Amino acid sequence: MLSPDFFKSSFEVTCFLLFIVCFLHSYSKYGFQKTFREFLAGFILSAGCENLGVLSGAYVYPGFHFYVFEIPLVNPLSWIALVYLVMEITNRLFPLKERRFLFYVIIVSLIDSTLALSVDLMMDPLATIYNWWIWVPVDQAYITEDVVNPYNFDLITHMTTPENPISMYFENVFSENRYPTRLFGIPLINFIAWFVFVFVFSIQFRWIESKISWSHFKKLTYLLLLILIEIPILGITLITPNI
Amino acid sequence: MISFKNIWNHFPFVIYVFVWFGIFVAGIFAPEEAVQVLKSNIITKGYHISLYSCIIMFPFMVFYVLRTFRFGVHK
Repeated sequence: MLSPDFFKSSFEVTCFLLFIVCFLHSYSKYGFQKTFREFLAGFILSAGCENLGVLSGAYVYPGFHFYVFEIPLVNPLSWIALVYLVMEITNRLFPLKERRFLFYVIIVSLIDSTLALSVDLMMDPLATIYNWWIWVPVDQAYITEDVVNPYNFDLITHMTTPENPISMYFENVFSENRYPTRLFGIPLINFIAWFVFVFVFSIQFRWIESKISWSHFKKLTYLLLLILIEIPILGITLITPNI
Repeated sequence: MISFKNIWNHFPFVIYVFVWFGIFVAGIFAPEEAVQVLKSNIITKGYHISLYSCIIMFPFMVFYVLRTFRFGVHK
């Protein structure tokens, strides 16, 4: 029962459940509007940047059941669920100080990023082992046939990068050795990107939520505007260095 | 006494522990041949991931438990 197939399917189901439970927890604690704001903004940021990553040709997410363009639906759902969790943990351990607010926000956002990174450091090697996503060109992803099922899933979909202007733009970047610097077998830039994404999201969400006089609509508008500006900036900045 | 309210109060931490446990189990059951695809000198067996997950994630869990239950931060 505990086969790679089992882990692949249970990963998708568990991520869905994780999102639902986190959403309900946030709803029960903060009400609908703050929950909606946080989860929508996180979803858009994660989905936007991950789609850029796939379209650039950096990696692919094959074999899932539900997709948002080129990435599995569970990817942004579980990202924002995890970010919600680490932010809640940090809030509990380090309650908001009114004095030196900026310093406080920077420090707790750094702790958020570190916590999220601690999960990602161990999750990504597993993801590669169980082929939840594939960092290398697909033809190199084969593991010995007859010993381990090459892709560990039945649904053959999203195996390759679709032809698109972004992949053509990055063609030269990835033409030789793709992401040579690795930690635990995973490109180092992946961990750097995780840290940066969580840090940026956390700091701006906390800053916007601190504006008590702002209406819900104003907070949502500012947050979404920031996110929409960030997606191309962070995407291009973190994909381009093929280190 | 552990009640639903208690668990709900500490829900983010409970899920964090749950995630760690998932990583721990998945590491133990990782097929050795599949681990080789990482081409890593640090992780050569599945249980290495379980071990590293303890080293990386455990200190924080201990810190949370101590700070919350022993030193009374937001009980």
